[in-house]
Amino acid sequence: MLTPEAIERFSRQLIVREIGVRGLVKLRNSRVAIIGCGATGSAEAELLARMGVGFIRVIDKDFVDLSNLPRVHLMYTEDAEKALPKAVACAERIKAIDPDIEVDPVVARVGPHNILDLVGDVDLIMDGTDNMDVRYLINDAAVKLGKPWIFVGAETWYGNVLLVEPGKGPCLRCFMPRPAVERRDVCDILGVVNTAVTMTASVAVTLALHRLLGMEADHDHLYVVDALRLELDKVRIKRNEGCPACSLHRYEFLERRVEARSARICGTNAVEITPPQPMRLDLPALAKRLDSARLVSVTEHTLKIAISDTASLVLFRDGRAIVDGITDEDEAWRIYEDIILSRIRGEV
Amino acid sequence: MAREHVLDVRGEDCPGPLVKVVRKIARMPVGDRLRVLTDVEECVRLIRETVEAIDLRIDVNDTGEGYWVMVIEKNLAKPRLPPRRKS
Repeated sequence: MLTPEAIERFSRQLIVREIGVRGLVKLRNSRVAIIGCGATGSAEAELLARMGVGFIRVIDKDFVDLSNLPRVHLMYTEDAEKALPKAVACAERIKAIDPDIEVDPVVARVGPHNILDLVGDVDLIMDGTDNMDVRYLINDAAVKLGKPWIFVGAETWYGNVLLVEPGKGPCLRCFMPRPAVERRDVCDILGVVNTAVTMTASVAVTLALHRLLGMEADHDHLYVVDALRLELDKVRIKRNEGCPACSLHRYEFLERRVEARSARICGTNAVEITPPQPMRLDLPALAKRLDSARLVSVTEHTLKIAISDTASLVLFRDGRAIVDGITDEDEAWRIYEDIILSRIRGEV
Repeated sequence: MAREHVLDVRGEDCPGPLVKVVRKIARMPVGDRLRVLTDVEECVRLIRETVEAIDLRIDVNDTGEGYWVMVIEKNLAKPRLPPRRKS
């Protein structure tokens, strides 16, 4: 319901002719999923929330770390101290901005096993990830479902944005048919400037606004943000008749199997552990069975344990863990097995 | 007994008058009317679009003397827009 309070809240955008009260109703009725709620995704989330989008699903597998704070929106030092999941922190702040927004925080790794459920009931998917494999997965899901999504990438001083309208314009695989191995882990190698991220997110959310309002939304150009020269450019992208996704309808990223594994996280000295099967852990109860000297913090969302002076492990309710301060994937897996799996085996 | 309230916002630019109109409508008993006087054409468009979107009746009259008179009838307990679409 659009209340008098909502009309007062949004009065400055109601007077914009292209928006008006009808536009506000469209935004209030819009459903958006943001995949990844780090620097880019949190900037998108804040802009979408403040412009009045009625339903926002924020999906992220990670927790707030002190080193995130120079770039992210909606997250504070206290969140890092509690190792609060980014999706939960973003959701709490969105509700604080506008209690009428329906927010659905999802603390999970996005994969072929869950992406269709996560994006099946939304009007638009926003890219907030820093991972090309996840972007190809989003592309497969969006093309298969015929849903628009906005590709957003930022590194150093530069950003790229493309609105993908399946069936109408090019998709991600039309111009990047497959992931380039040497482009993985770019955040580790190159870093990113927070203004470049926010400029890029602003371009992406402007395209989202055009799309959600039913205006003409440009789905033929890749927008290129250059924060070093302060320039915004755009490059025409054509559909590729041989595109494996939108022309041939081969969704190889959707068909990949999810396996238990440990993997280094881009841009950090941390390894993410994916358990053999999804779990539903009672973390405060588990904390009581652990060595209390090691316990750093526990909430309903995360449990943080010190491994050494320089390494720690954060466990999520679904059994995933992030081992920070260790870069060897096998060593991280052994720590997870010793501290976590050995105590919960047979209980989940 | 239905009453008629008057809001004279001549000399004010939107969105201020729009906010005043919406606040006034929210506080008025059902059945009452609100007469709004404005001399800004953009405010007429905005107030009419908003009032129609919350399913209330509005009549607009150009007085020809540099201002408009809008009469809004509150015929619902709560001004509201259609419910949100379910997925």
